[in-house]
Amino acid sequence: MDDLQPGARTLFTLGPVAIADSIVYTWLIMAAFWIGSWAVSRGLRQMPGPVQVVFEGIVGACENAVRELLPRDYLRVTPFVLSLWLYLGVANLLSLIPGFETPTRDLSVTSALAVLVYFSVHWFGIRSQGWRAYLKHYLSPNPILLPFHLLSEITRTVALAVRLFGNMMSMDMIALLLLLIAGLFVPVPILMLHIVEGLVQAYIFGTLALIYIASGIQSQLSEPEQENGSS
Amino acid sequence: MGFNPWTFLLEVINFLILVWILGRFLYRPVAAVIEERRRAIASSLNEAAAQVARSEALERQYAERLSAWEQEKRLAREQWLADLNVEKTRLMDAFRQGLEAERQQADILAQRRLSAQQSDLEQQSLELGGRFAARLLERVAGPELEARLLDLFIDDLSQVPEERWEAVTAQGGDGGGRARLMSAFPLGEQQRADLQQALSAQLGHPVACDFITDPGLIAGLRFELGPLLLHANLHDELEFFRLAE
Repeated sequence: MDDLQPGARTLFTLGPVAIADSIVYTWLIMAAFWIGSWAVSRGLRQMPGPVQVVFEGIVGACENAVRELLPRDYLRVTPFVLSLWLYLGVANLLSLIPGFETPTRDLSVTSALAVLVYFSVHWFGIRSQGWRAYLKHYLSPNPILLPFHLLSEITRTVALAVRLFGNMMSMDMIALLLLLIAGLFVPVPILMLHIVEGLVQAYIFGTLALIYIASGIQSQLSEPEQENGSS
Repeated sequence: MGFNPWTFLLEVINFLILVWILGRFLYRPVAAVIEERRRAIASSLNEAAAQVARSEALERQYAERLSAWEQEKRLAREQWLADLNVEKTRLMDAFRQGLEAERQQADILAQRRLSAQQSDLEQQSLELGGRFAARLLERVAGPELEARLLDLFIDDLSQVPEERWEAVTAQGGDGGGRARLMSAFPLGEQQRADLQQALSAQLGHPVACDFITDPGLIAGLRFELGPLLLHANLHDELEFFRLAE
């Protein structure tokens, strides 16, 4: 019944640091991406093979999505958004492999990702226009709206973390409960739904992160630039 | 379901490392390959567009050259036709002139041939006429005709120019020579006397005559005295008539 406990489990400790299973899964995913990326980048050719075509399709689709929103800063933002999509897509589907758990069922993991998105919005905004111009938008159109700006950023960050955690944790719980109650084959449709749900949640999380970053960068643009087609 | 700060912190570090890994080993190389391919495609498209432009320019140049060739060919053909017409006109004129010369030469030859034929015919006619007249006169000739011719001879002696008589006198015909008087028929004594009298009157002195009969004269006389030769016979007249042409 220990599997029925939501959240992560501590696998071992390194001194005062408790290493949860979600961290280990994350390391596995990182290792897989590292090896895969290294293998792909070694064999890149102008006439691509099937594997290169798949990776070029993924990278190209991500880059185009970012470029549509940030035609000026897409080179800087694309690695971050690409990492979110790829990591969350693989992490959300990891529980389909027997013996593995999805790291995003851990609120600490989704919170870490949401906080990274929160700071990335400020990071890219400040790098794009500087401190003054970026912080100025908190006082526009009226300084009275400053608390609402801050509250909005906190709530959307929390929403990011809780949405992903809640969906993935609930899907895992439902699949596990159905497996325990109904038998081996009944959860299969639920697992198929799990695939869709995992990919959709990854897409939503990355898209929201991209939108937040784009809004943070575009909010720094001057009014003439906005009028000249910064939409 | 609890929040673990160590997990939070490690996840932040892990994800930042993952961003670096994917950016370093996936995004940059793949994006570079895509960009390089995009540039190669753009270069190929530009090169293709340049080649298309060059081919279009060559096509236009070829069309212009072809048009110029057509124009040059048309002008050359017109010039050739004009030269051909000039040469044709020249040759036709030369041919007409040659033909006219040939025709004129042929006309001259025909006229000459006609004249020769006419002359031959005239000659033949004269010969026929002469032979006809000779035969006719041979049949009608006789002493009477000869007497008549003798009378005409005596009458015509006065019409002989003086210089001819003087030439006879200058060559010694004044009594020293003898005259020969040939007749187709023998002359009677009276006729001979009349004749000698007329000659003596004309010369101013007596003339001795040898009277010779020559039937070839048909009728009439032939008188010879030195360089003087007088005819009054049909044979000589007919011969003279035949040879008149």
